[in-house]
Amino acid sequence: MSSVEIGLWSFPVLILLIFLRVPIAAAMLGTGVIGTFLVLGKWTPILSQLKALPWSTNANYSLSIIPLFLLMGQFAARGGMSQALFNAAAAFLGHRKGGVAMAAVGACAGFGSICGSSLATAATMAQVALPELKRNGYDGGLATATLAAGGTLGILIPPSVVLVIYAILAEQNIAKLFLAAFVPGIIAAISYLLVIAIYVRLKPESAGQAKRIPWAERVPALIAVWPVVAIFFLVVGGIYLGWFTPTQAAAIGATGAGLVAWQAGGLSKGALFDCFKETAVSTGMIFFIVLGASVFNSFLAFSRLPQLGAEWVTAQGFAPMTVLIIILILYIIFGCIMDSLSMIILTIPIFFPIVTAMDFGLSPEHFAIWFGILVLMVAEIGMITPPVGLNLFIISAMAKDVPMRETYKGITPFVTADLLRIILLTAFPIISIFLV
Amino acid sequence: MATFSQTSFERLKHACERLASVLVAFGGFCLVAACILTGLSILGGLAFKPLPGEIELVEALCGLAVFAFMPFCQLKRGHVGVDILISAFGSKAMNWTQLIGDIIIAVLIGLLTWRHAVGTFDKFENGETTALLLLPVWWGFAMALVLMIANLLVCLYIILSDIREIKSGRTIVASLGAH
Repeated sequence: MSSVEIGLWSFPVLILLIFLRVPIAAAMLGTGVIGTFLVLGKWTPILSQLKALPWSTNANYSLSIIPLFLLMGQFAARGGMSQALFNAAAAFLGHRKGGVAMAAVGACAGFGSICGSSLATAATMAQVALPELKRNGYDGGLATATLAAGGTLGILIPPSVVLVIYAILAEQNIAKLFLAAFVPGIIAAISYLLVIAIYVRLKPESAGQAKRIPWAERVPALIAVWPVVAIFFLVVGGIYLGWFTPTQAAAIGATGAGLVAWQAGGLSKGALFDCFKETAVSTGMIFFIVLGASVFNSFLAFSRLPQLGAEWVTAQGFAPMTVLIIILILYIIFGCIMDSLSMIILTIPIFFPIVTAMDFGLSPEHFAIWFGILVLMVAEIGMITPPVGLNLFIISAMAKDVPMRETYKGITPFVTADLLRIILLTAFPIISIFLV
Repeated sequence: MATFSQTSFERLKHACERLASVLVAFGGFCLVAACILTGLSILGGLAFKPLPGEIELVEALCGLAVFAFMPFCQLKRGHVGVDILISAFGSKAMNWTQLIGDIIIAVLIGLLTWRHAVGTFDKFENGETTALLLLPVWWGFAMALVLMIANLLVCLYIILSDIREIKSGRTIVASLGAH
């Protein structure tokens, strides 16, 4: 078998292992180790590669941002900021048709601006908003779907762990990607508000109405969210203005969120330990995937498959847009059945060279940013598409009285809005790059 | 496993949970230390000059935190996989594939630990140091090696735990995954 054939054969093997429930990281690492041996015909190179790899992966300054951002999200969840955000949003939106659900989306967007993780946003906001939605007579399915979809604003609105990982894999500037994600993230939040507005007009019985809050209460409610605004500007603004490196900004954000949580009495010894534990599981999972993917991708590079694949795709003369759309559709399909972060870490090193070699009429930097935003969007949709949407799972686990079927039904209009947004952003790259 | 009586398995379980918890706390404090160090360096930069070697220290602290978090992640069966096909075959198939997956992880972590141990020895031999602070690289490697061995122990414990659950006919609970 030639090297390229070994490279090609590794994919069915990898997919088979993954479908047999071998954890994705282990499947990539194992396939990568054996594949490298087969391509090079000896064990020495891979064995010596592994001598420094665990350390160089885990103790890597640009990857240090990941545990720090995850810790920041955990601290933010315990600082009472979710409650303050919900109160502020409800003060302005609550009395409208579907207003409490809209307030939940607004609060998710606010929380997303200081939390880079979708699950943490969904879980944190659900604690605050689910009881309120229930109290105001909202349908179970609408309530859970709103929070599952709203939770995705955690990764859509910067800071975003998915964008950080994309930036590292595609060697792009994190500050510019964060800035670029801003408008698409706001579009996402607005589209969710529209979905709710339409939903409650078509099914008026699905939502109750809260009473109007006077301005005398609105202003203090708004002022109470100042820590969120401060942390957001310090972290995202600080990166953009070049005050801090992204890793420094994450450390500052974690410190700020930690101080707010501590000051609010949310960081008892037990709560601090819980923050560490949540951070530990996510961090462990992500870094093992990064390590597995780096071995797998280095094996693919030895097999010369990505290079030949890119040459082949270019030589076929496919229209660049066709290739891009096929990739996005593949992402959406795979996102339905597998964890979207693993999907991205595995595939960016393969797809990115292919699409970069094509001419979309953009500068290489603009193209990379636009593609990053599209990848972010498809990763996001994977969080809320059945059967394996992690946000759906986590919200269902919290709202035990709502059957999963209701949640699936409720999420459909939100997924539709997401698909429309992906089409919009694919058709008009300018939306993603005009700020950069 | 048959050779483990109830009490000795329980003792092993407690020991592993304790080990993983202590390491989570250690890793958490490494992250907090990295935050404080970054803060001091920025303040120092405003007043006078940034801490020398900030990057080296922050990446080492965060790296140690990652190593320290791994055992807990494995204890919670936190490494995500794709359940959709196998779950259709019921909980027995889920249990067996869980066991196979955990064995594969243990083998791979064993491989990584072995290679990392050799790597640590290399760094010790060649006396490599970090660029700015001239700290011996093998220090970090050696600490990470201890943490990797702890991870390997937890991986082995998880295999035993899987076997026990299968024998008793329970369904093994895995984490949802995260981010």
